Amino acid sequence: MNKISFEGGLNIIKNAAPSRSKKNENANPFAGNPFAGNPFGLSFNGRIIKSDIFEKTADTGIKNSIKKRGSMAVSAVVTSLTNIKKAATDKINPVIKPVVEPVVGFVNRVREHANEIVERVERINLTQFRIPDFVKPQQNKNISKGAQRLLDSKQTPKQLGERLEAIIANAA
Amino acid sequence: MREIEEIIEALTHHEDSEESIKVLDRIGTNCSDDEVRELTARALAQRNEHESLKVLIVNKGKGINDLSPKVAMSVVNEILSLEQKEEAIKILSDTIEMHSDEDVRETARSVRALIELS
Repeated sequence: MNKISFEGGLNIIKNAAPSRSKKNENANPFAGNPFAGNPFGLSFNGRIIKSDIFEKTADTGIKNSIKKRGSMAVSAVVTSLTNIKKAATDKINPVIKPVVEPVVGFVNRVREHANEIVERVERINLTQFRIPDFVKPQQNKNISKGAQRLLDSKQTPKQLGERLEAIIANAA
Repeated sequence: MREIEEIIEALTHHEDSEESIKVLDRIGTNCSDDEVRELTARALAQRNEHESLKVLIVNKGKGINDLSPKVAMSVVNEILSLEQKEEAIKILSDTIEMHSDEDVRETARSVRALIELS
């Protein structure tokens, strides 16, 4: 292995194979530095530059975003469960009570562990993170025949609104 | 329901943008029926104009802040699927910086994070 030394202690190790010290062989792959073993062959005073850059710059924005996404998911669960709890407890229905109590317990547990859930989301291997397809539904840009007929009738939005109000009122 | 869908769709594409947004906001987003609120909110997102997106982002209880998670997530999905997101990002950023309500600011922050990730 050839080493080229530069002033300031920068070393580039040519042809460095991905290697791990004995200490790291049994290490938890999710703990600490995911780039352990210096696969890039670039070091600065024994520290892995690629890892530092990754962790301190690009990674930060993604981690923060995922944290927010995790918070949002937890918040949505808590909101919907709280709504169920409220709807059921408002009526104090003895038949519903045995069903409600576990829900109440679950809501409280979700609240207690919300921070832990978010922390776990943060620990997910970021390189494998993908936004699920359901987040991006396909938009149908074609106008339906019914809607096109309404547009062709030259009704104003106000007129369409009045009709909409009437239908909603009748349905209720 | 089909007729409601058609009227909302017609309002989505109506050339009188200002009035259409007013009608969708006044009738649709205040409706007690989740399905109507969802259709209306998606229509406002599809219009992709400053005023329509503002209704969905800055109002507590409407659009992305709807009390029904299903409606709120549906609106978020619609915003994420917009081809041009500049106006939405601008309103989200202004909301994060200037809105008086912490919950509204937090939701806007989450949606902007999702846009950045998508």
